[in-house]
Amino acid sequence: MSTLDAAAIDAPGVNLAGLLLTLVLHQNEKHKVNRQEIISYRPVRFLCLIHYIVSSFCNTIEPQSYERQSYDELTTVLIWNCKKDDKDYALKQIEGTGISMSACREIALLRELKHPNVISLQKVFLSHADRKVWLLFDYAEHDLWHIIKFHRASKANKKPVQLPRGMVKSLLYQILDGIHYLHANWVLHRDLPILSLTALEKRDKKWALQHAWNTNVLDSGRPQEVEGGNDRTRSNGLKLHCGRSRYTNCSLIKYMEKHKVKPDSKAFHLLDALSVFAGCQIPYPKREFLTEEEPDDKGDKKNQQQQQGNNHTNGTGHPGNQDNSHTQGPPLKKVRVVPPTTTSGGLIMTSDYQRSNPHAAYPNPGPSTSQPQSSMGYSTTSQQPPQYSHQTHRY
Amino acid sequence: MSKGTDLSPSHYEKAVLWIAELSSQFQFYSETFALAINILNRFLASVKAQVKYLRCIAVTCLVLAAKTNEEDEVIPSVKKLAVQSGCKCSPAEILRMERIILDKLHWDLYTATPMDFLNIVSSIKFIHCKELVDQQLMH
Repeated sequence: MSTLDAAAIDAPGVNLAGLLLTLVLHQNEKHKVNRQEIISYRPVRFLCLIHYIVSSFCNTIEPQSYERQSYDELTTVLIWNCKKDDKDYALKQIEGTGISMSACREIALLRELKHPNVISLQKVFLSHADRKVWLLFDYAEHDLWHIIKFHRASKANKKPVQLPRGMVKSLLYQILDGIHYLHANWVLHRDLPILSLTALEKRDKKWALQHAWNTNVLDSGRPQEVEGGNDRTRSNGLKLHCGRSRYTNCSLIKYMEKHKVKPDSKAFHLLDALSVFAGCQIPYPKREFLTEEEPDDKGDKKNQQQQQGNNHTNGTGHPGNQDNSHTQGPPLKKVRVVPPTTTSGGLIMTSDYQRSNPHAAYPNPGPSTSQPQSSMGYSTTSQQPPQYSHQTHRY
Repeated sequence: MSKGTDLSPSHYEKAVLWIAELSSQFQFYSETFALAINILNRFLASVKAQVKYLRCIAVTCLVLAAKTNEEDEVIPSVKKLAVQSGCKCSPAEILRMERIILDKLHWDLYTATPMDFLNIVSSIKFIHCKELVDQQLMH
């Protein structure tokens, strides 16, 4: 009992010694602790110790400075335009009165995670009046679903848009890079729906494929994907320890030796063009917003405008295609996807999009991505997922 | 402990013991209990809490810790928890308190707890022991 008092008196939250004693008491008295339970090992949440520094960036934006822009029905997200820095943000509402388990974990984790390929949570708003919780994200204009749809539709129209292999590689690389970051931080994502893979055109014209964490973002007729979830792994320290010797056997070098891949071979040079869109605009039509009051005819006009914009930008790479939603007046708009039929002429992606430097798109790659081996490791992940075990705790 | 309230150490002790009791009643992990105490301490450090709300705060801390730590199937509904714990507060009050706590703690629920420390120390100890045993077997 006296240990409890010791914990109570001063410095709540940091009185480690007192709490430790209460815990020992708790363990011995309440549970008959078997050996296995003691051994079971949970990874150190190293990020948590320094997260105060990381998470303080959220407090710089005031909620008043946002202007309601448009309403994206597909993802029940409001898009707000910040007056201060003229940037669009996505505002997502957590549904229901209580905060679900997945939402709770999502927010708590997102406050700590920071990576170019993981969407960043800017701020959390609570409105006590109607008991709603709002999350403020960066707004992404594209998502992978629309990109795939675009290519499918153009193929169906017998005007297939040539898809550079480098682009597929780049997309895959960015997805895997984001996932790797999560895994390196002991976060396991159990649901990666295609709609939540969003592409973001940054102000410095670097394209980052981000992954939006979603719990109830998707309500477009695919209920099996609505249940989003993420979890810290409950990994067993012993297993991890024993497995390590096995993991070392499948390093990249051994794989190369086994299959007689030479470092100067053609296959390796193909891996060079990983970030194809560095320095370019995304060559896809943006999701378009329609006003609710005027349904169709104005939308067609906008289509034409946007297609012109696309034709203009794709040939030259000029940033002529700014977001339409800045200029159109009424705030309440619905998302509509631009029909891709007429744009295919301007959309043949040339090798201009390929850049030889694979790291250009990543301003913060972390120490090990500067080694050529590790970046190649991503594209050969099907053979060697265990590479992750060597690169943990690097961010 | 917290800024100028009438919460005495004995109140706090009761709350902690009560959380421990609830935690074992619902068969939560020890990590969940540690996290609940952590949340409770950080919350009490940042607000002036009144004694009459302490039970509500305590049960909400446990709810939050369970949400962070436990599997989906284990977590009881708030309604069930409100009834079974005997906390004398309604589910709506717990939900409201949940929001307040999350806001005060800036949604920061993943912290290292003493339990993590104990786990690491014991596993290091075990590995070390295993090595010793292996060495002895080899000789």
